[in-house]
Amino acid sequence: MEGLLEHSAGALALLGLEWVRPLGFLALLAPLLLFLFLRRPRPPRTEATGTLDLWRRVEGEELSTSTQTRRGLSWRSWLLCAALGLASLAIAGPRRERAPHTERWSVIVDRSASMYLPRAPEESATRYELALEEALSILAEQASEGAEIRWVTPGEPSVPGAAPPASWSEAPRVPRSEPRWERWDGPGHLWVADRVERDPREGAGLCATGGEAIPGPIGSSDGHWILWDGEELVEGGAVPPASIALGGALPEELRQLITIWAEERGLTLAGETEEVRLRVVAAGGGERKPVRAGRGGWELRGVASPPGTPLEVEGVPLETWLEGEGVSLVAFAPGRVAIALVEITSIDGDPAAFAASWAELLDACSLPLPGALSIEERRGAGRAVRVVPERPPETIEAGAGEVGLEAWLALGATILAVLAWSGRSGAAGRSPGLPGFE
Amino acid sequence: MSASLPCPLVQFEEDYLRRVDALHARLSAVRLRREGGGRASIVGPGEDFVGYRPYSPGEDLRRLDWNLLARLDRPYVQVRRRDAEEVWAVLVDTSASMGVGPPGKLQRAAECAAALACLGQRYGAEVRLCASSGDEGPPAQLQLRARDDPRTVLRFLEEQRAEGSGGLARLVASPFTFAEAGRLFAIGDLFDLEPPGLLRLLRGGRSVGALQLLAPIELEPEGGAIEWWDPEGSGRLRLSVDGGALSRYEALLDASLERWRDLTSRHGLSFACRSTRSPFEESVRDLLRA
Repeated sequence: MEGLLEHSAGALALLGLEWVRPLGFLALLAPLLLFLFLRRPRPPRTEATGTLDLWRRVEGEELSTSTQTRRGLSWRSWLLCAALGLASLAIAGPRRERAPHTERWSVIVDRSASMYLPRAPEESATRYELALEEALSILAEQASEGAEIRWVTPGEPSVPGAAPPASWSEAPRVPRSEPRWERWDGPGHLWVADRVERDPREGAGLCATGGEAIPGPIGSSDGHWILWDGEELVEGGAVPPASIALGGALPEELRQLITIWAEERGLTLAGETEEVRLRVVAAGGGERKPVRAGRGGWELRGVASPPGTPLEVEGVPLETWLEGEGVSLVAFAPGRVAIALVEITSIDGDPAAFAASWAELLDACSLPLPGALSIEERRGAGRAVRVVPERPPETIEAGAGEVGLEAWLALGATILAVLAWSGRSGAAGRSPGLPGFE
Repeated sequence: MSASLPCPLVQFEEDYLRRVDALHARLSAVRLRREGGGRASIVGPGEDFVGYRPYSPGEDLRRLDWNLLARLDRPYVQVRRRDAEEVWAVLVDTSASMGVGPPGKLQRAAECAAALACLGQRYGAEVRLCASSGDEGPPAQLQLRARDDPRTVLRFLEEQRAEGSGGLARLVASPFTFAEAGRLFAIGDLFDLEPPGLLRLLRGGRSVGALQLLAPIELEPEGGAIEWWDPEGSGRLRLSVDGGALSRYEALLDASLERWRDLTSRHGLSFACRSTRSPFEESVRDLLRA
């Protein structure tokens, strides 16, 4: 019976609750039939008495005769009917009605540089805009009303909403990598990209715009653009000036090294131009202590004042590049380098190796020139692909409260039944229909 | 009509006589405590010695004649004049209305009558039992003397059944010879007898006790749709009995009982009204307490 009830019907929403076994409502017939049975019309019971004269006097004073009456139910009968009613409701499996947005979708958005190129050289709309439009179309078709949608992109927390943040339509200043698509392959997931290395296999959808090769700058050299024309690299016009920002009390040795590196890269100090490609800041502030650290064939000794917390710049966590005495001394992120060293007393090892290491760090952290993309980003993205995702499984949030509702009903039914039965013995034999429950 | 009566027959349980023995012992103890003070009760010792009779278990040992026991090696008790001359009459209503129950009124009435007969016999009295026994023929009678087997009383009463309409009123009006009885007990539901009819029996210093037995359904009826029928007539009445009707019925019944209590107390009769749920011992004690 339980199995039949479980599988013979879908859930039913009623009275603000969801009933997972609606056939259980048929059990309500039991208390109803019991009630009707107990209330059935019946002929009067016949009783012999020696006081008929007294009853005649009572009749003459205030009573009217009747041949049939309906039975009045005792409190035990009411309890029994109520117990059966509660048990029937428990069988029907009430749950608190699920929230309308229990259908959850995840839209994974590729915000790499190529997404902000047009699909073809003559077009103006970006691939991001086209792919997003397609994704919203698919969601409109597939997602239920009130479905919960979250937008996911590497390097940022996911964002819930019907559409991604408007800021996403602008190319991020710091280049973003493509999502790890295989991580997001499954029903209820939708990939938004210009191209993917492999199509989804586990039920995810795909909106890939594809696109032609987009020639353009890929870098600069000696103050001029290096352009890719679709086949070859050619030199372009002058690159607009860019700068590097130095902030805080940096060790003098490092300040000199960074200044030399900036001059080599054609960068000026911040304030002279609007475009800052790299910010190098002092990240000290903590207790000063001697440190010793090294990498790449060199080692320095000096004094650091690490802040005691992971290095960060403007709230962006940084990745440690140089560590000594268990603390991060130098950390980086695209466009940012933080230095906790306040003094360098000696540098051991090859001085060239020391300079080369720092130059690699500064080069790696420098933001690309605006408009300059790698050849890989500018290559053609192939044809457009549209894969409709499978619908996400319905989320049944059967927490303790959900099962508890059913359990409370069953408990109440049990208590009422026990109370009704406990009063039965005292009334046994008084009812010809159902002993003790008249 | 009596065929559909719920409790028309009498059946004594096996331990009935043992219960009577126990009742006799308890009453004897009560009599011992009362001795020397106040008036003599109905079971009190008489004044003048008139002879001996064999001792029965449970009797007051102080009435045992120890000299006679020493000489004859057999127990005898002294018989007083009042005991010797005493005649007890026990009138039992066996009309159809006595078949109402359960517990049946006739069953409880028979138990009370048999107990009175056995006790009277042990006190040395001659006991005359009289049952109304339907409408046909004379009332059934049994005379129990000191040496008779008390089981004859049980057999006599087990032959009775609730039938007919002639109850205590028929017995009181019959030519049955209870004129010489010094003690008279009337047992029934008293529905066919008015108090004045019983008062007429108070002649010649006779002591009269009346026991009214009512079934639970008469004392505490339940509500609902009920067709009442009178076992002693053709009357039927269908009623839907609610709380108000029950209250009115109880008021009428109380008034009837109060009338009995009032008249009997004013004329020196002992009167008790008992439910058939009460054991016969309590009813007998009520009758003999006066």
